[in-house]
Amino acid sequence: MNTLATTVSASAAAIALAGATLSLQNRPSETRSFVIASIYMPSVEVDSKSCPTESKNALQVFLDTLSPEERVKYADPARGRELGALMSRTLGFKRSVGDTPISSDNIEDLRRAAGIPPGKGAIVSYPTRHLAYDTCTNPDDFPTQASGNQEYLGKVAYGMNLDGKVGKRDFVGVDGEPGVDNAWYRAVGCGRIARSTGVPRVADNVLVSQASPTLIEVTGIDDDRNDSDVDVNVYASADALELSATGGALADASYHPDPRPMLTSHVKGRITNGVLTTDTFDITLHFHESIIDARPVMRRARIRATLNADGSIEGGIYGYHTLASLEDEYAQASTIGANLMSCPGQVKALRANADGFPDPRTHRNTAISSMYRFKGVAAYVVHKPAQVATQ
Amino acid sequence: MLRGVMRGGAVVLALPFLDYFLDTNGTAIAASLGGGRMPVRFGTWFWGCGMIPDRWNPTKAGSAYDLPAQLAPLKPVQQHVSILSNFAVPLEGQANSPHYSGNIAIRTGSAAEGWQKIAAPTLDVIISDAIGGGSVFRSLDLSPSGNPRTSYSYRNGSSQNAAIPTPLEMYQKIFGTDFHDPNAAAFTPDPHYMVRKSILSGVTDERRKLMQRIGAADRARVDQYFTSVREIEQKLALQLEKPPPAEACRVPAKPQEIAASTDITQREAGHKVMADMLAMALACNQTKVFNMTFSEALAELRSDGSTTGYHQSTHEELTDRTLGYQPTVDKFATQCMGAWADFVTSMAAVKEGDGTLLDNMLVFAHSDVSFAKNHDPNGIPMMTAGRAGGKIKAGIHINGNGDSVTRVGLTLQQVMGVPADAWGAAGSRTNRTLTELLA
Amino acid sequence: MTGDRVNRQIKLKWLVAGLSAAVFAWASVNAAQRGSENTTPAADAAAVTPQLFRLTEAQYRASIADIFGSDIRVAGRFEPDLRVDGLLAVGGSTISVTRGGFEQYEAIARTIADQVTDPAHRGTLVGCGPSAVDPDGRACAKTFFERVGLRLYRRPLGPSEIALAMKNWDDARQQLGGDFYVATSAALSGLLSGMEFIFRIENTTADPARPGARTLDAWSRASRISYLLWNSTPDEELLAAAKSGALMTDAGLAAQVDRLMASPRFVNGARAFFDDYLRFDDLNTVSKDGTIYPRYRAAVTGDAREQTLRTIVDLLIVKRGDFRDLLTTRQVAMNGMLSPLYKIPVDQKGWAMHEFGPNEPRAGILTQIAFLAGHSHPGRSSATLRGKAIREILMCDPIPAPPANVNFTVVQDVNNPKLLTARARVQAHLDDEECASCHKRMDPMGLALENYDGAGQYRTSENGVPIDATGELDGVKFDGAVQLGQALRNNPKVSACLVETALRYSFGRRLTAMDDGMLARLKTQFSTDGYHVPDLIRAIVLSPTYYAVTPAVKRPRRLAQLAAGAKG
Repeated sequence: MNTLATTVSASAAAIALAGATLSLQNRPSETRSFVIASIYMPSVEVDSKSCPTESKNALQVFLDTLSPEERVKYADPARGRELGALMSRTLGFKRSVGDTPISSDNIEDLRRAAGIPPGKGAIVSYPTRHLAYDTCTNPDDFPTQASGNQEYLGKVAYGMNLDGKVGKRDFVGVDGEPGVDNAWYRAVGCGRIARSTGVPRVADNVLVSQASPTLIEVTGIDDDRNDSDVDVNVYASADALELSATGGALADASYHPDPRPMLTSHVKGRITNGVLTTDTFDITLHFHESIIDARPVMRRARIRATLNADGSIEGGIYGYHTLASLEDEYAQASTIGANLMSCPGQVKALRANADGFPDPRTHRNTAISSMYRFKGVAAYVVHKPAQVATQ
Repeated sequence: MLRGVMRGGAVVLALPFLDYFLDTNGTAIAASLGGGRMPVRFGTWFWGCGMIPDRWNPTKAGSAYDLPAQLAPLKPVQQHVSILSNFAVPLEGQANSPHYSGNIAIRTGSAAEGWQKIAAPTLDVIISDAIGGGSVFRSLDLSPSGNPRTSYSYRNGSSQNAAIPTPLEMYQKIFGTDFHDPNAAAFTPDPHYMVRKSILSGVTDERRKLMQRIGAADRARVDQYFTSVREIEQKLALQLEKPPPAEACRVPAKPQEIAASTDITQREAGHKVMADMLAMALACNQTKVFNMTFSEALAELRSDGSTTGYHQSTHEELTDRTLGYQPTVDKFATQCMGAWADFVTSMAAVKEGDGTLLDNMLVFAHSDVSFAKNHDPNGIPMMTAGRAGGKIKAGIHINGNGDSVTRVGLTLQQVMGVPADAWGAAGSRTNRTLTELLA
Repeated sequence: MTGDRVNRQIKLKWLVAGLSAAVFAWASVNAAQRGSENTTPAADAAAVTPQLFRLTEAQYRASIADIFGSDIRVAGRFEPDLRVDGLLAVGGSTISVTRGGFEQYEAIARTIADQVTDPAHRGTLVGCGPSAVDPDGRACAKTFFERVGLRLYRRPLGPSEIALAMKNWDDARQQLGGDFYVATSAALSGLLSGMEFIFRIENTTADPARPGARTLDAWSRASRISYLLWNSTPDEELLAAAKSGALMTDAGLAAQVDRLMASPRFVNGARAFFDDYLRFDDLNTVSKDGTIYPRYRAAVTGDAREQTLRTIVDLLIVKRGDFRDLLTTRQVAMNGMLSPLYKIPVDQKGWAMHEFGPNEPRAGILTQIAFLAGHSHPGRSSATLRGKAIREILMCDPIPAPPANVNFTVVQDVNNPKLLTARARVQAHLDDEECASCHKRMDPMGLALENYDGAGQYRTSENGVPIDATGELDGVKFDGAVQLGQALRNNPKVSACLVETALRYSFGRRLTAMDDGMLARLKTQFSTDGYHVPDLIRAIVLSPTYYAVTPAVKRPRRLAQLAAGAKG
């Protein structure tokens, strides 16, 4: 028995499949849903003018603080692990030991046992959940390491004009759009991660957040090329991403939304020549991988994406990424990426470039203009009936 | 008699007489105990959908034959391979059953329209019946296809010898728990084999009582069953003996599992692993007879991403006007020859005695048709590799001039010591050995 | 004149001798009720019906699970079964066991025996051991072999078989250090390696209902109906009914048949039949190109097979529906592995029944992936393969092999821009007279299924050209798969074929002229009674003909007359 709430979409699809041609007025409105396979901060190809140097990673920043002899000794990349261990000892990183699962009952004990100062440290997921205290969990405690970040000096960046103004520091978009606000990219665009794996030709094919991909459901579509009024729902998936025979995202699989309200958003939008643009809204995403369980928050965000005829979607979420959620994501990464980035340097740059949502008390900006690019394939969003018990 | 100490008690075992050390003339040969002849091994190698005759058949007969385009992969091993071209399949008035008639005639000596209708066992079975004794495996049937039915070894129309279909299974079967390294210093007969053996002989004892209850229609099936039991009993007896040392034997490492695939490149990869393992199985004297089926007669092979496979292409692909042949078909056929060259290389790579393992082998390679587009049963490509211990010539091209393929099957059996002066049924019967092949 | 008379006398003497020999031989085919103790002289093949049926892999596994429990792992590769006349069940009566096959059975037997006697299982499965009154466990071993032997051989072991098992037990104890369980395992593996386990062996006895005739004995009946109805070994109750003689009576037989068919385990028997009828064993070698069909994941083929079998069981066994509705049903079992290929949402990843809407283009098993993908190429659909499958499987209408010297130059290159659809490409089959004689029986039906690609996914066009799915079958026109299903549903060949296949499957052999009467009756009954498959099976297993043994001499009356005439 079919107990789905998406029977509307099922029969609409069926009618389309049967090849029947009904007039526009008679056709019930359609739903098109997608599961996002890749989502990331997109990078342009940089050169020596846009990035005179590459941002230093944590090991390089620490190396700079050592004596000349030590600097010579540890410059050898083969000694990277040794250098990391030295950094950890010298700076006083702490980590809880053992594999005891962390819960509210034992977290304080674990903190004390590891020697982590009260109120400091964070739960990190690699390799198993631990409490850690280091430059990524508490960058403010390690001011000596807050250097080495190179800001992106180029003129072109991905993004959208978020504030309606064309400022001197604004970028030109990759499609020529003036006044693009993407201060996040300015802050971190010269880092190794952005440069190597952030370009779309690579990153479009990297599956992200497979444990809980993002679902986008566009309902009320009367004409999927031009429609002035559609409803968009964004969910985190309660089901893991399903893969096709070739290892990419599988089209036409079924997903249930995560029931938690904080991971659900609704916004109105319109479709123009096949491109969906929404009003602004606040959205909390869910990035869930083996090592990360993060909730990026974008404020006053907008989705702009192309709905392709083959059922796929390609576009971006443009808005102000809260610093708190970004820094929390870094904290979870802990120092595993010490050879790719330096958290204090990046956090300092993010805060310096933050350009939105000033705190009423401190007047410091709490969010930074950003863009997430994404690609997804057709999916079915399946809503269980309300009376069925959810997790 | 073997006097030994097993599990604390002295036990005397009476062991059956083993024919391992005898060749067909009754002369004992010590395989590796100084100064003896190596056993000669026989095997078949099969690929489906033939070739394009103009691009495969050498023009020059005799030695130093030319290598047309589809034989180009044989260049590094040409000196080991003899080509047998232009032999005909005797249909004896029966229909030419596509992909069946040619294969059946070559392997059984007479025509039949399907494997369930064959009148005689395939020649590999005849040869293993004659020489297979004394080896842990009387024969090995292998295919990298993943499908145990990819095999053209039949005792009769209802009895196919299924293939070991993956590299990992092949490893487990030959080099797994029951493998006894012939070069191991110590050998302790495991009493479990004795127990298993005597259990099977008890099974065989029940044969007489069972036969009394069975009608004639089923007698042959009962017989075959008990013969199979007896052969495994003989294998267990062998495993109670210390195997004679095998100088060329190197126990291979367990292979990674290669998923079986119809994609030809994947198939070639699995095949290479199995070929190398087979070389060691032969060098370690685990068997003297084998069949390797690279692809089935209908050549289920294809290339990932292409909608049309090999077999379909042979029928549907147009001849390219500029090239003068079907390009996709040509590519597949050439790749099959590449796989054959790999196989020959694997056998030639093992040093044995004064030469190589291949020198002590007779491998017979053939397909089911010549030109697959119209299922031509004439001029089916056939080759031998190896010298059969010095008994045949390698590196020559023999043009059959329309003679029956049964001459080839007859010759192969004779070289391998089967006492046959003629082979084939009725109109295909021949007694003319292919003397040009003999050394 | 005298010469003629002498000749005639000689001829008659020969005939009479032949008759006597036949009758003598006939009488000698007398399997003892208890094991193989009969010492009557060798039978001269009075039975023309086969007596040996090799268990299929599925039957072997089910039997071990029923006898020893489903947690006993049966690991290893079985020798492939052989399909004869379209059925593995028929092949089972023609095959034996090769050397390689026996080696595998022996290895599997040892792993089973080792598990049965291991510490985790010995308590429940062996149930006794060495004790104060039985220090070496000999009495326990004997009881064990008697009990297990009855289940394994589906009849009581004879004294010599028990003696052999005990001899093996003694030998193993002696050779392997005296452990009771090791020895018991060894002897058990001997029982499992016996032909009586690996094969069903049928024995005859005098027919109580028809003097002079012979019929299958009670143990053979138990095996036959159990493997037919449950695809597994007779349970204890059925063996008891054999022992008591109840199975030799109409009422006793009917009671057991009804019990087996009322059980949920009847589903296993039904599944095994349909799996064989539809030749789903061939699905084991289906491979699809992942680049062309990314939704066709590795597990799809197995789930597609399961889908169609579940759909059939639901319709024909659980709901006792009309067999013909298999061609038109909108109900289908569905799960999360298959749903992307059908482009439908599912509520859960596991199995649930789904119903296609009245306007959707899917109805009947021919629109399910097992059939569509199973009869296609790895990267393309095939109208000819699908049409051939419909003819041979559903209509019992075999297509001869193609002629060897087909003029394939008329079949154009697939990339030829003028031939964009399968219909255009196979038109050459129908244009050429020689090809058309066979292809007109296949291609039109296959072309009606061209809306489904090689993975079974729906499409309305191929290479930009709308698909034309029209055709005709025996005067009935159709447009598309749903209408093709209707046409087949109403075609009498389809239900007649099902009856014939069911009878061949039940017998496990080819049909002969002697079966014509039974076949005709069953066909009539099937259609008049509403095409219920369980009723068909029941009619077969309750027919006395099902257990009759075919006599060797086909015309005893005529020979008796001649013999009588010779005396005068």
